[in-house]
Amino acid sequence: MTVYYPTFKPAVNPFTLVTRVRELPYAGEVLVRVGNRVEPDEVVARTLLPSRGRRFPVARLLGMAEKDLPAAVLLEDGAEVEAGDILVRVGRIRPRVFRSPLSGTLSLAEADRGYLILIPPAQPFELRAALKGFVLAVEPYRSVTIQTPAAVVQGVFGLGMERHGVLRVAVTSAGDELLPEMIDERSALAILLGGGPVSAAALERAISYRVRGLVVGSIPVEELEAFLGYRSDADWERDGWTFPPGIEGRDFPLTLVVTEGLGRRPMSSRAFELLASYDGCEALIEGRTCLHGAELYRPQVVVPLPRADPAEIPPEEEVEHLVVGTEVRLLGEDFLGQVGIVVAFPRGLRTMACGARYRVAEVRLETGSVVAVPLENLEVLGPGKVRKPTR
Amino acid sequence: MDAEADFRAVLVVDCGIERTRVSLVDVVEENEFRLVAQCEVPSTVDPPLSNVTIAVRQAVAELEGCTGRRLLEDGRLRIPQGRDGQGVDALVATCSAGGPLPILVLAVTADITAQSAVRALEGTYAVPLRVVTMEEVLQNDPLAESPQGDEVWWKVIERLYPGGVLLVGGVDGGNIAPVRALARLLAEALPPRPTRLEHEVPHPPLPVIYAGNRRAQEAVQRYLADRVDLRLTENVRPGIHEENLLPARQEITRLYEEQVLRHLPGYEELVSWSQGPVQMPYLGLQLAARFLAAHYRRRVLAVDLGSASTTMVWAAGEEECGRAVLGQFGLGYGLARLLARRGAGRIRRWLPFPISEEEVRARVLNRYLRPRTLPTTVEGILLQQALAREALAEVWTRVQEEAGHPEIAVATGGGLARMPRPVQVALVLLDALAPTGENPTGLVDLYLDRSCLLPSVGALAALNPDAAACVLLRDALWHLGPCLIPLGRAKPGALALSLELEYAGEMRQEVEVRWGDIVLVPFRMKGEAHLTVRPARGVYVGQGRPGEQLTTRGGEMVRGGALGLIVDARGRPLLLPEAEEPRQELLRSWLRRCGACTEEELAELRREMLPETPPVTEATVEELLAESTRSSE
Repeated sequence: MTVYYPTFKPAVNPFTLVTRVRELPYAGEVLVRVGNRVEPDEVVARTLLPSRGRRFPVARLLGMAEKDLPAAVLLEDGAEVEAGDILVRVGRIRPRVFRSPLSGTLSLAEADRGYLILIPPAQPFELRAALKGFVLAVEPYRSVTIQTPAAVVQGVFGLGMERHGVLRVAVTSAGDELLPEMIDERSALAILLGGGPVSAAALERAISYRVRGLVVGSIPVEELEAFLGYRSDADWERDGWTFPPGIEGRDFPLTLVVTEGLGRRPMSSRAFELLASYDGCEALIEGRTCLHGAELYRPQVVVPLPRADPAEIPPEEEVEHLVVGTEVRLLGEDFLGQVGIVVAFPRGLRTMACGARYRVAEVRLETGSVVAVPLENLEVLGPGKVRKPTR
Repeated sequence: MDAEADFRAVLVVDCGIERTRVSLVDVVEENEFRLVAQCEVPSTVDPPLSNVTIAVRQAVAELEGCTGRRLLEDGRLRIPQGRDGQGVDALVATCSAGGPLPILVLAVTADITAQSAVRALEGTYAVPLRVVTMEEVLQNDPLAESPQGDEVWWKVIERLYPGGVLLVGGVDGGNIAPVRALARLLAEALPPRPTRLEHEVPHPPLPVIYAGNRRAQEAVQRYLADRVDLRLTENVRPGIHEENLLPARQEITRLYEEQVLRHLPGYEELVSWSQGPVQMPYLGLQLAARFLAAHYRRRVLAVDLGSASTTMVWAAGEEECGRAVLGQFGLGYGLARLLARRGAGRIRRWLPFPISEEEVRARVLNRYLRPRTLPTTVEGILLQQALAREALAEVWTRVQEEAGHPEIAVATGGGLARMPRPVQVALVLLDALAPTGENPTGLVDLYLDRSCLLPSVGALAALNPDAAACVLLRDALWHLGPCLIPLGRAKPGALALSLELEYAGEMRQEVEVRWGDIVLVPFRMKGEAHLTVRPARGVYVGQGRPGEQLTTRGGEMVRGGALGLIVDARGRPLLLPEAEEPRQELLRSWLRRCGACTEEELAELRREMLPETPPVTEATVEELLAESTRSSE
C-alpha cells in the first residue's frame, strides 16, 4: 500500500522508545557508563576541537624562493609559538624576519611551497545528554547512546539546534495564535506550546525572554521570511535539502518546531492534546529538518517518561500500517492539519474534485463527515488503541 | 538467431526521486514489441528503507499481480524467460533518484566563460551552486586575517561534499596569468593539512574539473595536482565565438556517477541486475528525440517535467541536438528553487481565481515540504499547472535560441503525465513554450507520453533498438493533436481565420476562429483530412504571408489527435492583462473554451480573496457599529 510519511514513524506517538546517539566530532573522553541515568544538562563526553590552521605566504612576503623557505625556518615542525616570536629570518646584512601573528602550533607541512601554517590552540568541547534517560551503549572515545520511553510529536519543519526545557502551555486551544504578549518572564528557559500560527514579533520576543523553544501549528510565510531576513522569493533558492534553505551554520537562539506547515492553521488536535497533557514536564526540542537523502530528518518534540515501563510499548510494526481504524493526519491543501480515522479503502480509483483519479481511503473527520483522501495525502498518526502510559 | 532475438521480454525500470516505475515490454503478435503493463510505487531511496531496489521489487511484485506472470523467484528476477512464459530476458534501468550534485564555478570573469561553464553544468544533474569570479576571490582572500561569514567562497569549498569545483577561464592560447592566479588562490583556500587529526578519516580530496585555457593546464597542475582530485578536460570556450561543452559535461557526468549515484543505497545492486549500464534519464530522452526527429523528419522538442528536475531536449535532422537540465527544479522536490527563480507573482498570474502572493508561496512551500502529496481540488490542480508553465518557461528561455521553432513537442514526466485531462497538458505546453508554428507545415504536433517511457527508451535502445522504436511509436506517444497558430494582428473578437477540413469521401467541415480565442476542432472521422486555412487580413500562418491561403490539398493529409485540431488564435507573444479581474476572466474563458475545466469546476473556484483575519481595532468596531445602525435605519 502506498502511503507517504517521511520517517515511517507515527507523527504523534504517545508512547515509544526514543534513542539518541551523542557523538563527539573528534575522538575524546566518554564520562558515563552503560546503565547510568543521565540528566539533560549532564556532560556525557568531552574533547578538544582542533582549530582551522591559518596559512601564511611567508616566501612571498619575504621575497624569497619557495624552495628556500624550509631552510630559513628557525623552529621545528610542531613547535609551540607565541605571538611575536620570530619564525623566519633571511638575509645577513639587513635581515628580514617573519614574526608569528598568533599563538599556537607551527606546521611546516607546506613550507616547501612557500607557506607556513599556524594552528591556534584547540578549544575544549563538552557534549551534553540533552535528553533525560539512561545510557544504553558507549563507544569508547566516541559516542554515548541514550534511551528513554517518551511521548513524541514530529513536526513538518523547524529551525534551531537541540534544546531542552520545561514544556509550558501558552495558549488555551489548538487554534490560538501565540501572541507576543503571551510571552513574559515566566517563559524564560521553557519550551512554549502555541496552537495555531506564530508571528516574527512573537519569535523575537521569545528570544528576548530567553525562551528555549516554541512548538506551533503553523507560521505564515511572510512572518517566517521576516524572521529569517529573507527579502525576496530568490532567498528560497539554496542548494541541499535543509529547510528553510540556507540556514546551515546559522545559530538561532531558540528552537522552533512547526507541526502542520506554512500559513495560518491550527495544530492538529491530537498533537496539541498530547503535548498539553505534559505541561510542566521536561522535554527535548529539535529543529533540524532535511527533506531528502541519507540525512532525511524531521524536527521533533520528545517528552521523556522515565517512570514508564518500556515493556508496555507496542512493537513498531503494529503502529506502522495504514489499516481501517488507523488515526491519520490529512496533508492535502484542502484538509491540512485535520485529523480523522480511516473507515474504508474503496476498491479501484476514485475521481476527485479536480478530475484526477487516485487510490483513496475514506476518512471520518472529527466533525463526523467522511471524505475520500488519496493515500499519498495521509500521514499515520498512530493506531487508535495505544494509550498514554501512567505518569 | 540474431542477437536481438535473445531479448524478448524486458523489464524497463525508472528509479526517480519520488516514484519508481517498472514497465514490462514483450513481443506480442507478429513479432511486435509492446508495452504489456506498468506499475508505479513510491521510491525507497530515503531512510529508513534506504535501498532503491526495494521499490523496484515492490513494483515488480505488483506487475506479477496484474499480468499473472511470475517474475521473481526468492526475491530475485527470473532470468531468462522460461518456455512457460514466466520470467523476463533482461532488465534495463535509468536512475535519477540521487538528486543534484552541487558545483562551485570558479571563473576569471562573470561573462563569457562563466556562462559557458553554467551551460555545461545545466546539461547534467549538477547544479551551479555559485559562480565565484576573480573579483570576489581577490576581495575575500583566504589568507586574509579578518574573520568572514560562513558564506564566503572559500568556506563554502570546505562544506562542498558531495560536490566539486569547475575551474574555467580564458580562451585557448590566451593569457594564462589570470587562470594561474585563480588556481593558486584556490590552493590557498583549501584547508591546511595539519588540521586533520591523525585518527580522523580524511575527507576524499576535493574534485576540481579544469576546463579553461589549455595553455594554463601545466600551471594549474603545478598548484593543484597533489592537493585536489584534479581532472583536466577541454576548454568550454576554446575561442571567443566558440563553445565546446561536451567534454566538460562528460567529466561532470562521471563525477556525478562517482559521488552521487554510487553512494545511492542499493545502486550497485540495481547495476548488477541491469543488462547494460544504468543510464541517466536525460540521455534516454535525447536519444528518443533524435529518433523522432529522424523518423518524422521534423524539428522535435521533448520536455520532461519531473519532481526534482526539468529537462528539455531538442533534435532536428540527423545531427543537430542539444539539451538543458535544471536540477532540483521541478514540481515536487524542486519546488523551492522553482519558486525562487520564477517568483510567486509570475506563478499567480496563471491562476483564474483571486489569490494573494503569500498564499501562493505558502501553498507551494507546503507542497515542497511534503512533495508526494497530490492535488485534489480544482484550485490545487490549477496551481500545479501554473507551476508547470513556469518550470517549462524557465528552461525554454535558456534554450529557445538554440532549439528554434519546434514542429513536434513531446511532454513527459510525472508533472505532466498525471494531469487529469490531456487538454490541460496541451494548454500548459502552448502557454509555456508559446510555439509559433513558423515552419513549412505551419503546424505544431503535440504529443504526451502518459507512461513516462521516453527517458527509459534510451536504455532499452542500447539493448534492442527495434523494441525501443516500437514501444516509442506505438505505446509511449499519445498524439494530442496538431496545433495551428495564427500570427500577426487582429482586433480581439474579429475573425482570425476560417478553416476547411476535407475528409476522404468529400465530406467537408468549416470552422471560423476569432482572434483571442483558443478552440479544439474535433476531427469528424477520427482520421485524416486536408486542411485549407484562410487567414483574415493581417493574419498569417506558419511561414506564409499575411492573408495568404494555405492548403494541404495535393499533399499529405493532416492527422487529427486525441483533441482533434487545436487552433490557438491568442496571438504571440501571449499577453495576459495586468488587471486582476480581466486576467482571471480571460484565463477562465480559455479553460472553458478548450474544455480544460468543466463549468461545474469553474463554478467551484472562489470569486473573492480569502479574508485575512484582521485584528479587531477600535476603528473597525466603530465602523461595524455605524454600519449596523445604518442597516437598522
